[in-house]
Amino acid sequence: MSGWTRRSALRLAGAAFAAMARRPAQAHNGHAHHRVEIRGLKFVPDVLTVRPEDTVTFVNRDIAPHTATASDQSWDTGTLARDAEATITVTAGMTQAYFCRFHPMMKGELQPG
Amino acid sequence: MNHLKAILFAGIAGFCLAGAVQAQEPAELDDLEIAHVAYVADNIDIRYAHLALAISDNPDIRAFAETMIRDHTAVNEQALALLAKLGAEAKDNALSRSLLENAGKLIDEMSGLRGAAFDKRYAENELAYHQAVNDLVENSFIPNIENAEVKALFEAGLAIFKTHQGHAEMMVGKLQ
Repeated sequence: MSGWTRRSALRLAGAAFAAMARRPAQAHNGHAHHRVEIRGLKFVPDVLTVRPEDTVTFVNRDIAPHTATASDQSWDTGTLARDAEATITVTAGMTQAYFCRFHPMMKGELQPG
Repeated sequence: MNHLKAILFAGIAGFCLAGAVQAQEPAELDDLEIAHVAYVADNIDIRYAHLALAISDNPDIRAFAETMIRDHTAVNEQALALLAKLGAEAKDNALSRSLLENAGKLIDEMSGLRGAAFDKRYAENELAYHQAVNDLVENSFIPNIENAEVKALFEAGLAIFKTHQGHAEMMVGKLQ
């Protein structure tokens, strides 16, 4: 939550490509880059261990549009149409639990490592 | 037959199974007829959602209705794209027509409701509608679809519509 603003921390990355979908977490300048895929109305993985300055890219592989939204709505990827993706940067103290605003039963968590 | 009864009990279809009008069993429909039923069923739920947005002030109802429009539109766009790719056209049939006819009656009925009475009716119908259609898709349509791509699309759609069913159930519980 602290220092976390949607404008500064969220980078919308536009359309993704299928070939990138299974890319594992990658380190860059000591910070990891993670990917969470949305498939079959589930976040995969639904629990992810992260550290401040890591980035997390959410990519939607479903037909239905989705979001990844903090449980207190302090951060939000915005609407992700099929094959669209958005990247957030992890900050210390940010809200860990998230869900899909359109399908509230879909839940995930970014756990501090 | 049980699936048709489920629809009847849910009040969303008035299949006439005896007398002058003899509708086909869902299992007898071919892929293009099944595609038409699904497309019509999607559009019916979109119509219900537009009605909800026109009448309801309840934020939960409005959010649900917006999700119905967003998701069913997305599924129908995929269905049309797949049909175009296959060079095929969905075929009108008795089940599609029956669904449409009964949806029209239900929309007339719900149009006369306001406030909590509308919200309750809309939520309960969304639950019943998704239960009945999901049952039909899962147990009558998917086992009988021959084209693998069409089957995959129905399976993906079913996962979405089962989530809608769960969401509708939550909404009904909240309105009690």
